[in-house]
Amino acid sequence: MKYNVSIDVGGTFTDCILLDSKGQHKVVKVPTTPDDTLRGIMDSLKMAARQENGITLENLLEQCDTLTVGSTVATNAVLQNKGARCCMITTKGFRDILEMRTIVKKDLFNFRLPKPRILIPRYLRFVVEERASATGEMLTPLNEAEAREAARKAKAHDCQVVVICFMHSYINGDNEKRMEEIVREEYPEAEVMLSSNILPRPREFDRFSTTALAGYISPVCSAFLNSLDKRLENAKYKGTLLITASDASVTTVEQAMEQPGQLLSSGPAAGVLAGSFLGNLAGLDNIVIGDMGGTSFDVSVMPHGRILTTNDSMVGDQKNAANIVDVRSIGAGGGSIASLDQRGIICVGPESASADPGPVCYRRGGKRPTVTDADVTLGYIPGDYFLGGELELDASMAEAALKKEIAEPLGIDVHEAAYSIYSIVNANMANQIFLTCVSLGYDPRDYVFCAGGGAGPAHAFDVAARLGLKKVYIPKTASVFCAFGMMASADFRHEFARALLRTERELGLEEANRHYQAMEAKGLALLGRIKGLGDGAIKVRRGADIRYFAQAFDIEAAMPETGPGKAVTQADMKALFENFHERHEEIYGHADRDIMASTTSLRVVVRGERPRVNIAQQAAGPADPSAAEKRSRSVYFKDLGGFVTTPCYDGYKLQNGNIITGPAVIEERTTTVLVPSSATITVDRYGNYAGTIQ
Amino acid sequence: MNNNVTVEPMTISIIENRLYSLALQMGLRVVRAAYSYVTAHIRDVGTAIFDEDERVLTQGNWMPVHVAGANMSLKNILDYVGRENIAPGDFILGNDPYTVKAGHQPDWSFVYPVFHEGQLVSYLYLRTHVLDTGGAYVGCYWPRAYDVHSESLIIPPIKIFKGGKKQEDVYKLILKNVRQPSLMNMDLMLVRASMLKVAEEVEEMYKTYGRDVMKAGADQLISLSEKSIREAISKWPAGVYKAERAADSDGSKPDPVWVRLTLTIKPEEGELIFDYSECDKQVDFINLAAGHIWSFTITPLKWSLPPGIPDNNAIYGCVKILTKPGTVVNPTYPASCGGQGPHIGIAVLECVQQALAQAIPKEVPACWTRTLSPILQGKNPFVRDPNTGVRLDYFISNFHSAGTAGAMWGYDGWDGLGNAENSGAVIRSPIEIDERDFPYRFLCSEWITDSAGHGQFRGGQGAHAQYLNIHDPATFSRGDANVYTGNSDGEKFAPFGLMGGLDSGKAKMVIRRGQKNIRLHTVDMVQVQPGDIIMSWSPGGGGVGNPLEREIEKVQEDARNEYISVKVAREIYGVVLNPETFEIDNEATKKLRARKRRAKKAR
Repeated sequence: MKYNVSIDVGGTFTDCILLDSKGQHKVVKVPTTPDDTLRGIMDSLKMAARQENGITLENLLEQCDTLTVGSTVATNAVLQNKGARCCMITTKGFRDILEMRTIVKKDLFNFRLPKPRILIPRYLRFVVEERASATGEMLTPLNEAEAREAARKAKAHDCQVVVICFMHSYINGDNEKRMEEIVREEYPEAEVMLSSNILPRPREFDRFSTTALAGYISPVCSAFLNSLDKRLENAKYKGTLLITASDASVTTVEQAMEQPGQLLSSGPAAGVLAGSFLGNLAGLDNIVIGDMGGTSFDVSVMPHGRILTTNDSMVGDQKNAANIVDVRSIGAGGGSIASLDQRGIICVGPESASADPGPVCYRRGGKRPTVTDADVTLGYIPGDYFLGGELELDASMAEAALKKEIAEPLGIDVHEAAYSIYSIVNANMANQIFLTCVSLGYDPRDYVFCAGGGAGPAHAFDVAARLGLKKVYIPKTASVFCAFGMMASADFRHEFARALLRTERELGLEEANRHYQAMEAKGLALLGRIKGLGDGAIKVRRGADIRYFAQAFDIEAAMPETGPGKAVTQADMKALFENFHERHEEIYGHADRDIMASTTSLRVVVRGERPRVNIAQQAAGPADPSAAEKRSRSVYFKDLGGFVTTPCYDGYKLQNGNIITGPAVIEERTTTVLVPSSATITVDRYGNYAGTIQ
Repeated sequence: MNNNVTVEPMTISIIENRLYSLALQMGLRVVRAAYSYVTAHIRDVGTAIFDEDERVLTQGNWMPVHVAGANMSLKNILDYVGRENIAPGDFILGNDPYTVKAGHQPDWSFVYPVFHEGQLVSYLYLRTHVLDTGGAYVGCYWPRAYDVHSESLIIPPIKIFKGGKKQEDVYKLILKNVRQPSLMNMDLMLVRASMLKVAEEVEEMYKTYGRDVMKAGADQLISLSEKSIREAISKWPAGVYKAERAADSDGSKPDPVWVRLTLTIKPEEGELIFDYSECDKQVDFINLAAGHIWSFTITPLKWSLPPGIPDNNAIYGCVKILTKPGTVVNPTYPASCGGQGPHIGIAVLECVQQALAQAIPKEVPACWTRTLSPILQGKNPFVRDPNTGVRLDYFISNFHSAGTAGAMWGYDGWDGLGNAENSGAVIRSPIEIDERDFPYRFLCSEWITDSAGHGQFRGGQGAHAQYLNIHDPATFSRGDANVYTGNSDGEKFAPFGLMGGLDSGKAKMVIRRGQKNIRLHTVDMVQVQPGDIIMSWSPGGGGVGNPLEREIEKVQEDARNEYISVKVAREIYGVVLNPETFEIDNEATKKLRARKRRAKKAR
């Protein structure tokens, strides 16, 4: 047997999915171990092995050819201020770019707020004489004496990482490279990050901030990746280890260390991969993904199954201008804490009980009621079958906490309190889906709601109903949604850009091809280091950042993807500029073909396509699901007047074609699907649940 | 009020959030695609969504100066056009300080009405500083504009689209009177396209929820805000508070121009009366168009209200504003209003702060830095229109030497927020993009040590910037480059501190030409030559509270980061630091602070 395994380390749970060569999968959730992330990872692997007919960890790893890992290690380091001590060496005259920011204050009229945190304080920002122009001309070579002085200061201040950010280095990085050499001579122990490597794009604040962020998380990421690599090596793992990147690609450990920024939100980014895989499988077109984990609810919108990216995201107070998957999160999950505000109104989240202490019903010392406690009280989650019975939930403790913290102060029934918490967290999630869709210009009612996360399936139908959505799709792997995504359809991907200001008239084919080929060659070299990528697997997309001449901003336009080695023709160029006009019209509602378009840079994306996984299909079974009926339990349904005896189905016994009409509950080891009376579920041939709401 | 319709709080919150995000989108598309430098780079845009009764429902997170008084702008536009003449597909434009009465002439106001089932249900409003208005110089802010006609083209509220059809005659007349007409056309079409998209969404909301629910929802979201505002005001001390602040000058003569305010707080009624009747008589260039006083009064007021009250019509119900015609805050035709906001507007705003500070000192931030952003203007040697071969005119106001916020009791002032009237909605331009597109090179853009107003809570940092003109002398003709300071103020009056916090300092600008430094005054215009370096220094925001009470560790951090010098740490804050290691000398500090406190008392 051959295995493909992937692991997603979240804030509360570490998810693991194992897929065998016959297309059968096993899913595992274990608590995340924040003190030592690796322990949780190894625990999840052991548990997966045990579930796979009780084979040993060594057995499993021996037969595993690909292990893919996504992790919140980098994001947490930023949010919890646990990154490295960094200094910045920058162009004289521009010491404060990082601090001046170009971010609009969110709450405009509120000045009773602490200032945003600056990753590298002013006294650790050193300036040196050097300067390139906007056209890449070297106006002032690096002042070597000042450069040495700066490097020595970095050492004297004991900075683990030296971040080098010079003006216009995206077009001429020579001085940054020379500065790096000097730091290596003066202070060889330091790690060095160059802005011309991390984000070779104009707009100095974006580049400086993104580079500072990369520097700040780099040692944490390297330590994590190194020890992961070592631990697997000790366990005799010989297959490929891949890391999920924030642009929903996968990358090698070596390349992830060079671009640590790719580890920011590396887990959540993989949600769209699950979305695009399932969309193809089930023939879904517009998909909105909502992944409800223990701590956060992550939303991504996929119009016509497309993955949307952004270069304008924030990690806490810090701007990340790298191109990443557009995932918008709020603090809403199973661990979200319910409390009363000073007006006596119930609030749920954003604070989470996370893995430690966790919800009250975990009996690990949690005192404040959470969404999970409400779910257990209402019978949505079976206390005796949480994580397949591995963790027994104490419903009476949950109820007691709800009574004390919410029901009694408000003078309401404890079930009423629990249901309010359930409703409020659902309203918050629905609102997040709504805001995400609308701000991107899409109408959520045109979308299928694809629900992921361990807590997701118990909340999905109510969330969808609040938005007026009629279709809900819950994959069998919902509880390990992102882990599944990174396994199912992730490719290798490298992106390159060259600044080049040319109007459509000026841009010559020879010049364009020269740049395209140079960038493509770099990409091919990176992909060449990866074993097992066939020639046919390599795809190249050539494009450009284009604006109407003298416009302030540009937008990305591209030619259709081809194989490597293709020379761009005049017709391709015409198509590229036409694509720009079309995109401009689509985004802004207006295009003007009488105004000359011009490039600001050329772009190449080189993709190494990996084979998609194979999911086993089931033979058709009857519509009647009664063969899978496991038991009946008392479950709360507001519209049915309270607790009603509800049939519970064993998710592992349901068959292709079974139709379940609510009220019903489907129990699986790592999740529970709640089917309200207004909904019907059909099990499809992959065992996934296609739901409709009347 | 629709008392018979009750709307669940959840629905109100959805309506409010959706409208807010639509108002945000309306501006965002324009910012990302515009040719206008200040629109694109500085986000010089405001948007608002109104209901059918002309009440503001939301404003997005755009420049308050454009929309904090949007209620008056819409009213004035509709008064002029006639409500009975509004039809689906109309697209209205206006910039006239004497009919629209909002902003200066380059700020163009746009209105798009939304209809549902044949009935008017909403108005969309957008205002932005356009690429050009056809004045003496590109982009406006020409400080010698002695009347509205010399300022630029004047457009009273007119329909440039009627029933969805472009009014070719008037449209051509406008484009013929502005520079770079094809680019201006592009920006106008973008504004319309963005508003149209939002209109579709708003109509969709009316379809989804029905007109009754939308009306009742609007009533409730406004009354919820109003309740919070009145409740806050009810805790303020009743009384009459006077304040006066002046703009540097109107550019035609050196005298300061004064704004005077008498504020009456009526806690029981939950009402505030702002009486500006005693302001100076109208002058040249810097007068504030009559409706615009709302923006400069409401914005500082919002700083002092509890945070998190959604921006809608509620606040206008709690405020009365009185002005006298013929004064700088209610000028009469044909006085020019070109430089209004950064001068008279800001003096109005500072009066509001000063008056409120007498009543509720802990709820008012200290004074902000005034706008200091010398405008670089001229003919671009690098960029010609590829179709016509004409060199592009440029107009850059990059905000790199802009100052920032004053401190507030309990909080240091935020750095780098720009001018007060925009509360942090403006941002600095990206230097690398400026240098790519325009004939200037930045020599620096940095904070200035010791520029902030000192206090227990310190003001934000002042900033220094230098721009080198790199126009090739061989192709340069006289007049190809100018710098004007029509939006800069603060060389005569320093931002004030509060509650024992210190004032910060005064603004300064020079042109370095060879070895010579030529002083550049506010509200002025000077020709620039290749090789000239334009330099400006802004003060920081005012401080709050006695500096001797500032936490010693914070003083140490400030000195370590060179926000303040070791000398200031000692002389102002009474903290003795080792100039090399920044270690605190506790004994000496204790003694010094005790001595300084005694000296203060003795005074």
